[in-house]
Amino acid sequence: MKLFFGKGKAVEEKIYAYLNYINETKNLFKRIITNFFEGKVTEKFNEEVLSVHFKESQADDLRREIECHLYGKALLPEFRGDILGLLEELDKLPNKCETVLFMINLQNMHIPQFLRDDFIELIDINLKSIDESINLVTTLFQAPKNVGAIVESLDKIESESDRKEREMIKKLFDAKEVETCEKILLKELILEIGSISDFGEMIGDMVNIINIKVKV
Amino acid sequence: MGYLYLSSGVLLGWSLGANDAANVFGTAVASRMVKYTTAVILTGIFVILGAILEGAKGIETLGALTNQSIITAFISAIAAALTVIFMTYLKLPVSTSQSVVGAIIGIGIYNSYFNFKSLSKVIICWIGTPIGAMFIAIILYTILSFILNNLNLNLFQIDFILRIGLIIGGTYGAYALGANNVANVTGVFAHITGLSPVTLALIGGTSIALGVITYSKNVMFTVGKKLVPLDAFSALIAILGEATTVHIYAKIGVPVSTSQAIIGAVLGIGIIKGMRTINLKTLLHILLGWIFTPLISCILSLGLINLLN
Repeated sequence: MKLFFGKGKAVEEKIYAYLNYINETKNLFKRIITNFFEGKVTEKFNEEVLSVHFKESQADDLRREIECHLYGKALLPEFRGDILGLLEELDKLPNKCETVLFMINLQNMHIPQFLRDDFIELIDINLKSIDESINLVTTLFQAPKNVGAIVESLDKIESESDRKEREMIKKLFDAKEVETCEKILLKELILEIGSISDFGEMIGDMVNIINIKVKV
Repeated sequence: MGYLYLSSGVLLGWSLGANDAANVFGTAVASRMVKYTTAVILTGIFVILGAILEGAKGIETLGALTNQSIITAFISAIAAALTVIFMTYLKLPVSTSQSVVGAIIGIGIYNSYFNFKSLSKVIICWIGTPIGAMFIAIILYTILSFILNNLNLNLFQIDFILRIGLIIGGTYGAYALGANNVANVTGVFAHITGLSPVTLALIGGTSIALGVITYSKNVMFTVGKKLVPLDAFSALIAILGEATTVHIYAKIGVPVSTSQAIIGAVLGIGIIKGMRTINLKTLLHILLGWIFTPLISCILSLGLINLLN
């Protein structure tokens, strides 16, 4: 039996391990970026940014391993493509965390005091999207009938993030004390953080379709 | 001497095995859901089992269609085999069952003797094969999809069930193939070789299994790929519909075409899903096969027996 069907179970377990990596990357990212926005930057900031990069690389390695498993006929062909697509989309979540930290670090970004709380709020909203995405994929594999409610929640989070982004950009460009070039960089950072929930929403849509396809 | 004449039947069995294994495991193998080696081993074993356990009835039916001597039986098998080769060369759909019956009719014309009751039963069953498979597929699709959708299974559980289903369905298809089609291979030799129906079924089943093991790979991939656009659940229903139909006819004792059964099943899936799964050309091909296969083999066997005399 294991000869025929062991591969499917192995893929399922590896996907849970992959989701765990995404969660660990998110927690690391949250700690570093919250410290940054609260002005608690230490000389170890570079190292911390790199630690997110390493965690993201580990997640990437595991994702490739799962993909190899899938190409090795672990699932029925019609499900193989869906899971591969879902993994690619999930991968964008830790990638975005890494990109945001690199932006801040490499561009020596300075966050104006009047925007710090807004940034923390925006980060919280978008990290909620990562949590819900992980929850959604786990639910898809464990209790598929509950998928709908989480997809709806991801949609709401994305709208909430959009609203916050618009509010912050308006606030930023209304501020007289910030240089225009700095405003453009900060706007880019706001949009980059906000894109996490955009990917969360896309994951929601994909999972919804997979869940419909599973019905025969 | 009788065994030497049986060689023509063995040849026919070999070509049947090489061609028809695709109808039971084609989809699963071509889409790499099941390994070719696994499929071939399972098909080989279950074709022989089906032939031994349930093949005798069909052998009796074909043996009773007309009076045969060892020479006419040999000619029937050769004429049927040549028709299969000829139709395959012309890329026309061919049914070994119809080819064999056509050849027997040729011998019947030569002998001026037919068992019309058995012949009409056979012809009614031919027409009933795709139609029966279509209805069975519709029923199976409705019941199984209702059960699966109400079990609230996740993707990995559905994947597991469909995979195991395809293996069980393919194995059942192989069993039904052996039970039903072994009569095509050694049916004409019933009553004249002194061999019991079970022994004839064993010889026939083994020759089909040999065809499956030695020469089915290319056909399996070609036929299977034609059916790949079907999703796994539909492929499972197609195999189960075909196997059930062919098995029912094995119980009745009439050899029928597995290819036509699977086409009927796919048609049924199309009806239930509201889409066209079989085009008009394929249906026309079946109709042409129904007419030309028995006609050609009948003319061939009649020609060969006259030539020999």
